Amino acid sequence: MHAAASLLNSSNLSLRFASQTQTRLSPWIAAPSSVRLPLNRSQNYRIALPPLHSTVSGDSTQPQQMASADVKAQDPRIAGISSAIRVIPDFPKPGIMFQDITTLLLDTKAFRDTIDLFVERYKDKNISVVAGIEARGFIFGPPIALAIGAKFVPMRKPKKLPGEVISEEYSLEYGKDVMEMHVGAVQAGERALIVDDLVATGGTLSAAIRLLERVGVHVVECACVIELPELKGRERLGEKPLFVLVS
Amino acid sequence: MLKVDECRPNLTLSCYATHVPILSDIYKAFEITPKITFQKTYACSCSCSRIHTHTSCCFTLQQNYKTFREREPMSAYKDKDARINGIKDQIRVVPNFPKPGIMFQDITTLLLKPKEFKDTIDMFVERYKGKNISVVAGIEARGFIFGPPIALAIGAKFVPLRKPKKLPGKVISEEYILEYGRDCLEMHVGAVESAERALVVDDLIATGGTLCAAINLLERVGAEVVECACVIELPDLKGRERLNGKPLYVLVESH
Repeated sequence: MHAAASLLNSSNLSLRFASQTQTRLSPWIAAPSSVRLPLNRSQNYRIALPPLHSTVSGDSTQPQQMASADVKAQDPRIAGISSAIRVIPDFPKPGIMFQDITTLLLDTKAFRDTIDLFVERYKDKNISVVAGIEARGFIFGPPIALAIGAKFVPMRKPKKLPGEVISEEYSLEYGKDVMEMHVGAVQAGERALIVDDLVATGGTLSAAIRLLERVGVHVVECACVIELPELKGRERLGEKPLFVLVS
Repeated sequence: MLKVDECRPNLTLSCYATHVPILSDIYKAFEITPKITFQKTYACSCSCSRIHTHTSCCFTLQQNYKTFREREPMSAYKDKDARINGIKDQIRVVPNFPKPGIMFQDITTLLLKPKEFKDTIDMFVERYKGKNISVVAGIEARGFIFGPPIALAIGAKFVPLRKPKKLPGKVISEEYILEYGRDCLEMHVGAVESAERALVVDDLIATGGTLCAAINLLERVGAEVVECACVIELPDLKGRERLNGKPLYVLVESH
């Protein structure tokens, strides 16, 4: 952490991120409690820092060259997106630090950047289906679908979809829930993207993957704005790739 | 000049057709043929400046019918945009959902057609860009599908209006009446500022109860609700009349 902090101070690129954080810090972000924050601002940039050998010159005009293999972590739009997300302590119950994307939706540039980052990644991947998980997946999924020319398929809680559905049960921390999809919405052989605002344990995303695969669809990737890595959702998705903007 | 007994500003042009006895007299008196031009203009004695119709013995007409329609284009359906038929054809009607006797208007089939889904969004965007709208409020959950693409295209922020206990942090709530019982709609405190111009978006308007609650939420924080926009209207349920006088724009009507 200390080596990272000194890098943060020394390189022009990292300074740019740091200043962006300071100017973008808003009253929305709640003061951290004693509970360890899953989404700590400095941790974002620790992950995002490029390898040691390429940073000394601090060439901020070409950040991509300094980047590690993970180009999206270097994308200057990420900082604005990350700082627009608000953390609400003790919601929906004590001890949970809730990642609230509604403040991101109020920042027109950050919202547009969020969608752009997904669209740039998926537009040439022959994806014909974007599946969005109720309800916050309905906010990010359709703009992506429209931009890449794919259809949008809502994955819903039980009894919301009219007509014939298929259902998939999945586990919650306490108990079970059910996710439904319309019969006939997707065809075997289609290539799909699953979108939600956040991946925590990965239970909901796994259910969505199973639903699509049951009808013969190839799930290319899962895409979320936020990941809570310590909840190991990525592992629960098995070999399915997961792409996130902020973790 | 004829006198006015009643002033009902929310009657649309289609309401003319139901007032047959009055209409035929008026057509005779004014020597006009429906759907072409209204040839006379009369001042309304209630002295409101809106273009509106009256049920009793007088109405205020715009001199030119085409101009009238441009002034209050309440529905794209009436404007006969070429994209409308394609959109309407993709909406599926599911009988007896969620309960017997209800013909459910299912927009999910529209979402499976990229061209028609894009046309839907385009029609709203064309109407609202350049109108200085800074807020698009979408009603959970199907309003979340149509609202954000519109917001992104017109450069407005998106504000989700949700069922109780879904939004974290401080909220304001508005209760509204259902057929049986009540429900509640919530909005984040601070999401919308006073004097912002807002659009309310949902997939469908039926009785107008939910939209009315949404309008109230926005007005309570001082926003100006410019219009409500829905893909589908069920005009027989008269939701239009329940919108506190706010205009409503829809793409498709379903009877």
